[in-house]
Amino acid sequence: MSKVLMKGNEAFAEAAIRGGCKCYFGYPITPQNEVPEYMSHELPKAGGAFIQAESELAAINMAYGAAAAGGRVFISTSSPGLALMQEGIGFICSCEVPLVAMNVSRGGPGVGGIQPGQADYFQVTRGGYNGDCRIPVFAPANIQESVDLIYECFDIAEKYRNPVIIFADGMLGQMMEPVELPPKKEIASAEQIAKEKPWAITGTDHHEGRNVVYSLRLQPDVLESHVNHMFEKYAEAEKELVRYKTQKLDDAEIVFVAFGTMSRICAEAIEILEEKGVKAGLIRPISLWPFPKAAFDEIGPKTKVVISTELSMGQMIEDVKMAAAGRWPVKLINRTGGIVPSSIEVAERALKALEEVKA
Amino acid sequence: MKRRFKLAFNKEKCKGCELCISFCPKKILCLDPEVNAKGYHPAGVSNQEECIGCQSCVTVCPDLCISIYELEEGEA
Amino acid sequence: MKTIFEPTKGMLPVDTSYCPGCSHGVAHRIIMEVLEERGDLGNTIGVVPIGCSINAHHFMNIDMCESTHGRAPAIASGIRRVQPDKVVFTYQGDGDLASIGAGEIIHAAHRGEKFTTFFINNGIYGMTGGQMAPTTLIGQKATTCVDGRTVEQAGMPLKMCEIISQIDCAVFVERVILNNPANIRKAKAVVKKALEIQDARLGFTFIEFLSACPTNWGLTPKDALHFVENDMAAYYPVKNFKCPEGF
Repeated sequence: MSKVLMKGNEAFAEAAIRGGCKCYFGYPITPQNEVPEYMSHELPKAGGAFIQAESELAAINMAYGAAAAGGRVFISTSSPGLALMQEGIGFICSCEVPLVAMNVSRGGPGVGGIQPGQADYFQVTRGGYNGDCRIPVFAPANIQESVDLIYECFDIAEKYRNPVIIFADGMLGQMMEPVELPPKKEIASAEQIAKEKPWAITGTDHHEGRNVVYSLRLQPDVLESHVNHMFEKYAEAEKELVRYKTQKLDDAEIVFVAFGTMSRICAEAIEILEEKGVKAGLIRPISLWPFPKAAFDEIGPKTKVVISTELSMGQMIEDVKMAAAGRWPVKLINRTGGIVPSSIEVAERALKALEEVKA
Repeated sequence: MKRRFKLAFNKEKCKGCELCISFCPKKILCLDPEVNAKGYHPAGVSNQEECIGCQSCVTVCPDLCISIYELEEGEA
Repeated sequence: MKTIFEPTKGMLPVDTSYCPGCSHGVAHRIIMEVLEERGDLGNTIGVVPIGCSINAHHFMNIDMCESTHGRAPAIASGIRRVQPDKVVFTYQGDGDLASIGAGEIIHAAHRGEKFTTFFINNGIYGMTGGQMAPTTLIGQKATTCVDGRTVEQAGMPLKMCEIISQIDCAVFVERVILNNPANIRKAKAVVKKALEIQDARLGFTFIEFLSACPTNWGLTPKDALHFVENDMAAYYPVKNFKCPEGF
């Protein structure tokens, strides 16, 4: 297979089409606009359906309807847009409907800015929805990984009958990289939907009994047992969906923890530090939920400090501290508001953090 | 030969809203003195022979409590 | 013995959760009767709203899904993309459709979505206990306007048929009234027509049902129907606003 040079957002859309996406619903918001633009002309050619929704509220609910009717659905948005979708995402969890959602995130809070940010860490891992639910979240660090994750996440979403979020900062959406695209899967036919998704609302002629997709459970014992059932799925997800990569942990004095664009900057900072005679390593969570706690057990004996490196005021650091469990001091290196620090800045601040813990 | 109808009331479903009684052109429906399991006085028919099968009662009933049958000749 | 009338198979043989005299039961029944007569019970997907009639899926004998508050038209738009051959409808109350979901209904009409919306207008929030709706009449009392709605405080009641009918791709818009046997029969004929227009995929189809909420209005079921007939119909004209040629 040959590689093609693609802009991130367009590659995300193409990956979804190749994953057998039937429907895409979106509302314009920077920096992910190339996704709906690409979908508007390419998805219908592939046999799918595109709607430019009137709002993110409508988009997430169109997604719910299409997915409840058995279609593979992909949506994308950026930070404030995801905030608008949160009610729907919780509702979809409760209804046990699969969905792949992409957040090409920017700086906040509020309308914030349009430069890359990771301050949606809480929003994607803790949610803004009400009630007890969890969303598997994957944070790719390059376009190839994004494409592979989007392609695979349809299967994950369908296995767990739950939304899955791909969390890519705006940098990934806007950059170009060579990418190998996966083979195109066919969009499921009505017959396949009826066979493979016997719970879907397809009309009672097409399945046994009567299908109702619903969230309301007024009896507390019924609701509790439903939530328990959801958390049995999440317990399995916590075992099955943990993904991470590590780099040079064995003899590192400094261990960075970083995802997405920040992990690439940390990888460069590690080289700069090595030139200065300081060994550093990296834990790169790919799954943000479930958070890869096990990665921290691979940290070697020489580590003096663990540094959560983020494009936010420090959100992932809470998970990092829990995973570190007091074994190492945990520090933060961060920029926010859409500013991406250079590898030189990260290396310098890491050295300072190392000095602080040694003192 | 006068057409004869039989009204069948599902007394347990009835919520006693009295709309069937209000709209019966022959004024042959009434509430039972007994209450059903829900605690409502359900609707019933006081004078079956007068029923003309107009279906006003079934049309306004919000709870699908009433069925109407036409009796054949000689049928009781 | 010959059957003149038996409850439609479109309604499950269970008790509804609605109050005595509530118009939901009548609206449910005529929609389900039309679907049964068309032979479409197995070929239909309905979306229920937030409100009393969220429970409709316990009563209507078809595939259904629940909706977030007001978003049923967006959900039905999604369903339609995956199930192009089915009969698709939303069933929504006035708090759901005319207040929180005003955006979604306008844009479903604007896109000319090929489904039908059944809009139950009883001028009040039923499920939450009788608060003022956008459709509450001037002077009508509700728990958030205990002395009656005033123009100064809450503006004039929203006329959804009049609004929807201004949208080009809404091809069929009609207001019906569920106040007596004759008008209920007429309403059923209108439901039938709307679904025929949906079959023809001509555009968005919309029916508003002027309906009674005796409990929250503090009226007997009979007096509530008089209110629908005398007060509601005086402000909300019962008529066809728009119909494609040939229907």
